[in-house]
Amino acid sequence: MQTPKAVSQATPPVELGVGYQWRYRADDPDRVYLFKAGVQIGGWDDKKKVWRDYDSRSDHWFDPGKPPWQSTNSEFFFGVVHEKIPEEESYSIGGVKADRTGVRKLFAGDTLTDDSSKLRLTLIADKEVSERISGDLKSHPALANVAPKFTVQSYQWGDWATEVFRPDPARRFHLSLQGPANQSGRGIEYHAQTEYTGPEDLAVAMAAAIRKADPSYEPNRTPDLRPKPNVPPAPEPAPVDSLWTGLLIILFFIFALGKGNGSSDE
Amino acid sequence: MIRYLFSFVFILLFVSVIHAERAQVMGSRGPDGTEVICELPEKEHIKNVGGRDGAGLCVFTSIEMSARWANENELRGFQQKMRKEPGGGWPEKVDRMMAKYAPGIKYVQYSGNDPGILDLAMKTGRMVAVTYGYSERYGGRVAHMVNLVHMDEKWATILDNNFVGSDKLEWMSRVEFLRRWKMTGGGWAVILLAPSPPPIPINVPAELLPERRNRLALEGLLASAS
Repeated sequence: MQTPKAVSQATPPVELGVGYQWRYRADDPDRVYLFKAGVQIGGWDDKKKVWRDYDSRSDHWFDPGKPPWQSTNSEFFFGVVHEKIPEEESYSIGGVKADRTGVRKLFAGDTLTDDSSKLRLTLIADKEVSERISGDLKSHPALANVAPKFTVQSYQWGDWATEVFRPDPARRFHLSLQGPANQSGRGIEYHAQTEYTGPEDLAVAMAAAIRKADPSYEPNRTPDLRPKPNVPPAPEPAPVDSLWTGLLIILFFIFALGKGNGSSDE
Repeated sequence: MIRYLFSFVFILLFVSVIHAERAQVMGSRGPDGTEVICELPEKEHIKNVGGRDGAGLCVFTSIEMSARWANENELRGFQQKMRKEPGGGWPEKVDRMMAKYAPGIKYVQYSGNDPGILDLAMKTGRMVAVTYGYSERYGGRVAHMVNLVHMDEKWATILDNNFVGSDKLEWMSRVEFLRRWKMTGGGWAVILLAPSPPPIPINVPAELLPERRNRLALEGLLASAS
């Protein structure tokens, strides 16, 4: 019954996803038949642009009607079982239901923290080296003060996300310290090293990167502590509205004068 | 004349509203050049498949794609493992399957109508698995989960696991996406807590380099002395 698509002249009116399949009949080139999970549910007459539902259990064709992709009552099922999604607002963290307090904590930063302004440490190394450095970051005293200021991502050699660093394949090690991402997803790289010389050296580099890119620094918020000079107050500038009104009046006069001159010439 | 003018303005407004409600299939840059936040390379995209009963695995496909973005290797192959299970997904089943196949993964689930958690996820560069109730691609309503790869105050972009590919992202207004997210009684979102990939590295600006900074300071001193 099934034939390659090329044999049929009919075209499926919509492309559907997993669980749905359009099938063709060599002896019926104007029609395509829709199957849901292997069961036929209807047919589309491409020439007449007509849809008919089909009940496979009773082998019954219904009168022409609205196709399922146009009906507001039917929906295509690709895997979400709506009936089992809680109707009331709910959160869970790692499978454990969270109450309102948990929700507040969630947004306050206990779990899904806003780490968008933190510095980034990206480690590209083989598993053994990566585990050693991750251990140092967690527990070495030299790194205790600086490590919490970084979001750490550790990649295996060759992972897709490491391509942007263009790491040297001969070294099989790349450690990068970056500032937080800007709006276009780019971050200044302050430090890069291609070998690991220990937690003390790394702590020095991390401290230097923090000094260069302390994300909490806002120059405009630094007060000027000098005494204020006694300067007489400047006259207030004219309001913008009156400026515009004045300009419009001038333009009007120029226009009126020009017109008056033109008519006297004639 | 005024009547014609009013009709014209009305038609113009009507057309613009209709146009704004339609999604556009595009690449990683939106209609006004906005760059997508979570640009997962095409080689990491995976297409939706059916479980052992043929029902769709869009929920678990979306979660695995979020995991590929977040470098959660424990979830690599999650969709393939789920092919041995019945298809279809809902929050409690996600908990069971995560406990079974990837117990070390930290994640949050939300169901409701508040987009705040989606905004926070986007701000921190996390790709979210979200319900999706309608698309022009299907011509009607769908019971589907996709990946939210971008959302700001103006735009939202989704990666549909039935139509994978870097040039097949669906761009729409934020308002329209939120309507589609909540379409069947409320939205559902799954967010992995692992951080996003590192930013694309750029070099330190020249004025911040020590030697350049010293030269600028020297030039400033010389200028003030003269």
